[in-house]
Amino acid sequence: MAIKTDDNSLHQMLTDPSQREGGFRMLMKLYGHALYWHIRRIVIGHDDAEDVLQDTCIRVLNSIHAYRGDGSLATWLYRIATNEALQHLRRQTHLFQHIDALSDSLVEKLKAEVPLDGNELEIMFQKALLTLPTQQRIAFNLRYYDELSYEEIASITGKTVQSLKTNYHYAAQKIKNYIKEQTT
Amino acid sequence: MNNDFDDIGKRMPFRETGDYLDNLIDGATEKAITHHATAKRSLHRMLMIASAAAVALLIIGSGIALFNARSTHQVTMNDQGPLDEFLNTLSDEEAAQLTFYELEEIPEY
Repeated sequence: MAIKTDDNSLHQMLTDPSQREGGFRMLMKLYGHALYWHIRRIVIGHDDAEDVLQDTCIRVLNSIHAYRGDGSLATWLYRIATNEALQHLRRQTHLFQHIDALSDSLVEKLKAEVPLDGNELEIMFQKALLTLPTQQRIAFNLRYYDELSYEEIASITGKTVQSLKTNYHYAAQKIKNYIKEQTT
Repeated sequence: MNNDFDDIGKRMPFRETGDYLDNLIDGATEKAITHHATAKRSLHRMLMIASAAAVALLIIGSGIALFNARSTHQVTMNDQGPLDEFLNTLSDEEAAQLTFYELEEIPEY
């Protein structure tokens, strides 16, 4: 994981009502960027990511008492952010529509968000990611960008380590094939 | 971790700067703290209102029950009727006079 901190002292601050606000500010200073990008990679749009980050902050602060310290704070935060981002996507679906059906609209959002002089390969990579089912895309992002262990990703997504490993390699192959198709 | 996409790396095609994100995250943090405090105050206020409403209901309920009890008592007292009440106000002599009052003693006009 990119960010490491002394979870115990931070947890103590967050559980002490007199230090909670200070602890929360410290928590967001440490994990804010990582959470924003994790959310952004799921919802693609900056405005959407901003809304989801706000909802995540509120959810974290409201449920900090529920954090028992069993797993790392980072894993707990990623889980909340992932759930909030998925909720946000679900709100964009029509009746009985699965969130995976949003890939076309997410591609359109991607096109609208990238700068005109954006790196074509980077954009193509993002488009390739959007061909993956949402849950697989999230797991891939957590492994590839956030460099979390499969155990940590399993704790965030509720999947088994073995299925995550299989899915990661399947997703990587699919992305490679997509890029190959687009560049030849 | 084995990087399968060395040509691309981990860059995203978006250009939000670190400073911009710092401000955005600080803003979200402060809004969440304000929201949390407001929500707590709202909850406290709602609990106060609910408590006050419960006390008011209790008082009104007790008042109604007391009023009903008194009304029942009054009805019991009133079961005697107005004539009995009038007779109760009379002294024994007045009552005796009334008892022996004869129709023929009514003067004729």
